Amino acid sequence: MTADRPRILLVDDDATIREHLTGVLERSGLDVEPAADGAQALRSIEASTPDLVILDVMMPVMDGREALRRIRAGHDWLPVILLTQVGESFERAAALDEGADDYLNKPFDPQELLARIRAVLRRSSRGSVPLSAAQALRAGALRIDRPARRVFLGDIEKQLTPRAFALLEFLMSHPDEVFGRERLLQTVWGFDAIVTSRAVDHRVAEIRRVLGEDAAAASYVETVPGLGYRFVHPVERG
Amino acid sequence: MSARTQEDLRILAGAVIVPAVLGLALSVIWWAAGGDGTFYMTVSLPWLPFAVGLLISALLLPALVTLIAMHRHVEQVRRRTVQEQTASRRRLLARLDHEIKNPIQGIRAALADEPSERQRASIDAQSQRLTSLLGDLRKIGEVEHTALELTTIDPAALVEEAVATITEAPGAGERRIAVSLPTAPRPLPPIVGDEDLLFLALVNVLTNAVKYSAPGDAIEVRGRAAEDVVVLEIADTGRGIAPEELDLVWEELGRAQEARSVEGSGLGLPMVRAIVERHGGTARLDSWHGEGSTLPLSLPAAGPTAGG
Repeated sequence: MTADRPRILLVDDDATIREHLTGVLERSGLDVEPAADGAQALRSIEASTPDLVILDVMMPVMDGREALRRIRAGHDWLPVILLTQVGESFERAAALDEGADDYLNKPFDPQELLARIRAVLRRSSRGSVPLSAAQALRAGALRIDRPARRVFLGDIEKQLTPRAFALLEFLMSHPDEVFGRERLLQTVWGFDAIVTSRAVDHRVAEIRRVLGEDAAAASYVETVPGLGYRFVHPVERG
Repeated sequence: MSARTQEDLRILAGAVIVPAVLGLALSVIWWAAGGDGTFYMTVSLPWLPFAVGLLISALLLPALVTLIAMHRHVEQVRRRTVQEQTASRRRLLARLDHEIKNPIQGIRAALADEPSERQRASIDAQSQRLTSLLGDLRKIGEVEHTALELTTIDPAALVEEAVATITEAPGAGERRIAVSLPTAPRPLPPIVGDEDLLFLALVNVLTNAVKYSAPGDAIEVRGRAAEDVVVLEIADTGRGIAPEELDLVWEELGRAQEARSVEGSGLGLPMVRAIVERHGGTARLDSWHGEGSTLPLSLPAAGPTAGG
């Protein structure tokens, strides 16, 4: 651990949100640099690279998505959390596709943002290359091609339903982290109105069936009793 | 839509055929009654094109009249739909206004009050209320726009799981829940659909049945197959809905007067309808005030067709 406080670049065009989120994050031990739009954010990153970027999607001058693309073009490993607007499920899919490390729907609880920031920082402090922007991921014999939405086990292509693929992709790009079913529902499905986590369990069962795994001795997706699921195999870009 | 087109076609066909049939009938009667005589029409040759034109015009007249009538009818229906949509939009805005006004008022009142823990708690609670309202509206949007993931589903398994889920809901243990799906001579045919969404719809309807009934009430889940449609019907002996408020429950944020005492968003049934309609099916609600409700969900076994 360094003595330095992690530096966060907070990009949002709303002055009230900037002001108060800055206050909350600074009191929690983070150094916050505010920016009002994507162009300002890019200039700030050029001047001095932060440890993490929090990026609003809807902004004037340059919106968050364009800013994310440009950040990814120059800084493959810089972690980004996107703040998406209410609704628009395509934003969620786009957020993960374009290499955001996490996303949060507005309005959110600032404590939730803090928890996500800490999780992302933990991930990047391990010194490993982040997987969020990788086109393909490999874990042993398992390989997924993200843009093409294809799964291979050894040389054989396997068939997964789109939601099972999205679930596997999300778990695989966050190896060793435990995700609750609620969180997975929000991230992969978008409609978390489902009163039960059954949908998640079904897709995990599908993934295991397709990968020929045994739930009791899973080498890829492991059940963490009482908590949720975790991708246990080491993952590399591939 | 297709039903209306069919009706229009029938009217048009009638307009063309009826005069001919009528004429034929008169001729047959006249002839059978021994009618006699000959009718010659002479026309000087240069005027023949005019006579033929006149004849064709006379023949086309009924079709023209029908077309005009049909056009008026369509225009009327369109105007009524627009009127209904405008009215429903106005009601939604009024409800939104109401739902947003109160939490904001609460926040402003709390802010004007002396700083205290209670003040912070009130502001927090009111902003949570607004957040959950937004969340509910978002869910409807997602359900309407998310890409359907179609698989072949066994309706019996789906019902069984939905009922198992609802059994864990508060109060469900005090209702008599019965499932009756056909087994003889054959079970319900499989349906093509998005399993997660259909499950969500079923659980929503069942949750309503539990919420708007009292301990000891009965809830029945029935199933039947008719032609290419599977009907899943959820019935209860709950409080029911007054007839004048029956349409209200399908509108976003619309809640019957009596339901306001029960916690709910007023978005459950619109979501159920959105899911069923995306599958090319229909959702209806029959209710007897004070006696209970029946909610049949009709789903085409083949799933949503490309056009729908």
